[in-house]
Amino acid sequence: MQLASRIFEAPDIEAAVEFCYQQNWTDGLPVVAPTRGPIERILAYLQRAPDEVVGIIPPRNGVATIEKIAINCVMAGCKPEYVPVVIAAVEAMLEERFNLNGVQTTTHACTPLCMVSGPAVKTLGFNTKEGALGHGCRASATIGRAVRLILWNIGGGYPGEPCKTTLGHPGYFSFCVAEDADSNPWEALQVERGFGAEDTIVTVTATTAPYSVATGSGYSPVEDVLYLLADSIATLGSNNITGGDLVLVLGPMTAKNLAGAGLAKLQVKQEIMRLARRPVHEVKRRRSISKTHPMHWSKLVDPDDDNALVPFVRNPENLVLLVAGGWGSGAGFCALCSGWGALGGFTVSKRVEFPAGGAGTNSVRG
Amino acid sequence: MSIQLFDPVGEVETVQRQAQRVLHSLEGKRVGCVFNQHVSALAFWKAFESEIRSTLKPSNICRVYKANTWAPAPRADANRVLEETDYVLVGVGA
Repeated sequence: MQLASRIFEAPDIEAAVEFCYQQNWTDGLPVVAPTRGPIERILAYLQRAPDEVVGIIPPRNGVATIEKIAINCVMAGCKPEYVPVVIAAVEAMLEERFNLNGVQTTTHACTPLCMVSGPAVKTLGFNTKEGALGHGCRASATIGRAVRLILWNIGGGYPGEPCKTTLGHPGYFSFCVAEDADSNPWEALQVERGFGAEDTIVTVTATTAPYSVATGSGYSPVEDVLYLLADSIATLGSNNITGGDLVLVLGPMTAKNLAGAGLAKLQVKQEIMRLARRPVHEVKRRRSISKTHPMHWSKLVDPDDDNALVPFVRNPENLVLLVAGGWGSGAGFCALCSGWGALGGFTVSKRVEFPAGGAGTNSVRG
Repeated sequence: MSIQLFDPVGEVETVQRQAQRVLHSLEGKRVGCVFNQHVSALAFWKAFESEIRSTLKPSNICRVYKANTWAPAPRADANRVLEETDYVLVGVGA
């Protein structure tokens, strides 16, 4: 198979790993040596030309060919059948509304959270139970890492120059979670996002690190659970004060609590939207956007009414609800991933196009 | 036997640019102002524009005050400012 990438040589595996560090090919963690065998296995699985261009990754404007994506997926430790998920995530991030250039360079601490939903969650072996947002699962760890390495090696998102994130967060190494279809009491995320139940999709939103929310859903009435979720969102330091998207990963106990009270997913969003507000006299302490700016909260409420309530979720569609995680204790832990605000990183979903006969899902690229 | 490693770094997209026109003086020319409206630069930008007006006496000022501070200006606005000006001042920040 003809590959276009430059080839380097290392005497052994230890030297190969060190060479990757020397070339700045890695984010700080060691990588799998990108050798011909696994690269070709990915390309053979995908049945796509190595020089096919998926897109241009900002801010470096590197050309993301299928070959370059495959190389980065090898480095991340992906199995070939994971790679269509990575490609779909790249396509999603390249939608204009996602503003990837801004996400890669902002001083804020947002990075793309990849949310996988659909039949391939099971066939690819995602862990959707205990630790779903964390450690221990090859599919989520390596798909998330591959996305980050693509943003690093092709997009050039190096800290300092040009990535200006003030602090970053651990999700800048890998940030991927899958929906737990078994405990989701509502329509699947892919259905809510306009795809078929048989489709597997990747949904990306640029978010901060997960913030643990103890909802008490094992012993609290639904009103209190909603109040706690909303209260965690409406913090004055959150960029969602300017609007924009955010993600709530609901543990199965909390999802059951809310659905058991007769709430549809949209109703949960509407209730959180109604409750996640802070009064004007408090919000005035947050001065990050001028009053003349179109995003400023004073466009929504009277800035002279100190008791008027400023919403942190401006529309139900700004809030992504994903069910995942273990059953846990009565604390009913959930995770809030706040967004970049109205600045970008907006939620985008793409269908995963598996090759014919690949991955045992109905979503097949013919 | 050595290990062959394939370069993961993407080639940079090459962009065809028009030949740049050299301005020997900025005085009296049409100026474009692309400002991101970041709160930390409001006072600066106001003073900056005032200074431009008094020292360079532009024949016209075409302003693009971005609706989204952090995102690129819409292409139509970018095209307009390029068509209607001789040079452009682009504010960065945030």
